[in-house]
Amino acid sequence: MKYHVFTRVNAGDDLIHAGTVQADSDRLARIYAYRTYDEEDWEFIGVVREENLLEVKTEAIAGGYPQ
Amino acid sequence: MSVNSVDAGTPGFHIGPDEDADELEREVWETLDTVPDPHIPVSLVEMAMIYDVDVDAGEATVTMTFPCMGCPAYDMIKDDVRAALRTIRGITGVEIEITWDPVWSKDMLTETAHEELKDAGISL
Amino acid sequence: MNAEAETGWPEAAVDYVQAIADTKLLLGQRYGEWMLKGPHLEDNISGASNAQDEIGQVRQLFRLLKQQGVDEEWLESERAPEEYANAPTLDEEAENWPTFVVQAALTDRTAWLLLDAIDHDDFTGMVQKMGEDEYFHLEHQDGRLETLAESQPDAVEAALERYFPQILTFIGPATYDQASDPLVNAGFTDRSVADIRGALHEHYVELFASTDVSVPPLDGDVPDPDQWDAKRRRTDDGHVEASVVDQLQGVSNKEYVIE
Repeated sequence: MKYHVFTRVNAGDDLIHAGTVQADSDRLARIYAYRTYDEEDWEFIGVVREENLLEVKTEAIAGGYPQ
Repeated sequence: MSVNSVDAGTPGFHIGPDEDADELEREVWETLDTVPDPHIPVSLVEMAMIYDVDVDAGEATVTMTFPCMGCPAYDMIKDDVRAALRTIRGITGVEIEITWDPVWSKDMLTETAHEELKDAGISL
Repeated sequence: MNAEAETGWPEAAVDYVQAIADTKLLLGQRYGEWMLKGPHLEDNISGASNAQDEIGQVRQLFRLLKQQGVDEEWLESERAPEEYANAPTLDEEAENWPTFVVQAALTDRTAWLLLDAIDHDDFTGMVQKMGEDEYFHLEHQDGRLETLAESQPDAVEAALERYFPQILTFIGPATYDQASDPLVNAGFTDRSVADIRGALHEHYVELFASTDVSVPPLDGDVPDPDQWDAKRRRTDDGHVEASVVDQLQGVSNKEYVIE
């Protein structure tokens, strides 16, 4: 599974997309993210499964007008 | 574990010469403050890696730690410390003691170091 | 009594720390060998960090051993293979990934438990620092064991059957309990061999509880206390291969050393 890695340097900052990791479980994804992107001392580092990223498509909005 | 654990960022942790440090010890501290951390643009003193300095009859004992135990520059940094202190008149020998008590933490960094790192675009 | 003698460890403690240090030296070697062979690039990145951590920890344990009078040349470059006191689980390179993960997981966790049991001023802060490294090693391995227990349960179980008795032997006899463990009695450790054996077993029973993998029983007869050599923590004279020792001692790289 592909996971996206999000981080921030200071509390209150917007999250930035640091990169991705490939992992077979959430537990491994956390470790891989930390080990791969640990060159900064992040205030927050988190992972999101790619399948949980919802693509926004205009045609999917009921009653809308696709471009 | 009682004895193996210590508080990181121990309150009252002090960087720099003690009040009763003599002139030579102060010079050792000042010289150590010119030895750069090989990874980032601050000195070993600013990085809070130097815990104590003691000079006895020309023999300097530097008690220091490392932010990372597996530091690839471990020997290089120790060599830099020895080389820098040997230039001081009155220092005839240098002994380096490694300690992990207290465990180094970024909270120990001096305010100046925080500022310098920020200017260099490094967050620590 | 001079200052050095005041901080001297009991002789059995020197052997105990030597065994932990040699095990970590071999762990660094095995992590290094597998650094380019994991299933994901991420396993390799973590493995490379683990190898570096282990070597850093060995450097500190060797430093303490030298303070106790252990010869520096012997420690680093003049030992025969049978003089290394590493856990027998690491004598041979694993033949495949699941076997390697079981080998490294059991050994790294055991080395950590033995280290964390030390209750001596010379280790103040140092063990805590090592624990900061070890969190990532042990979490990575447990995460991997969970996925392997799903995808290759037979391979994991076979490796456990092979390595579990070996790691129990390395920890020591079940008869070394809180009342009789010599290092607990000497005040050097605060957790007995028997207790560490139980903790290790319980950890893996829990980890594999909802999987098809069975953990071998905690066999109180392994190792036989009468056969057990406390110096190398073994009941036989097995050892790592000479070619590996050559790598550990940097024999083939000596020509590049700048004195």
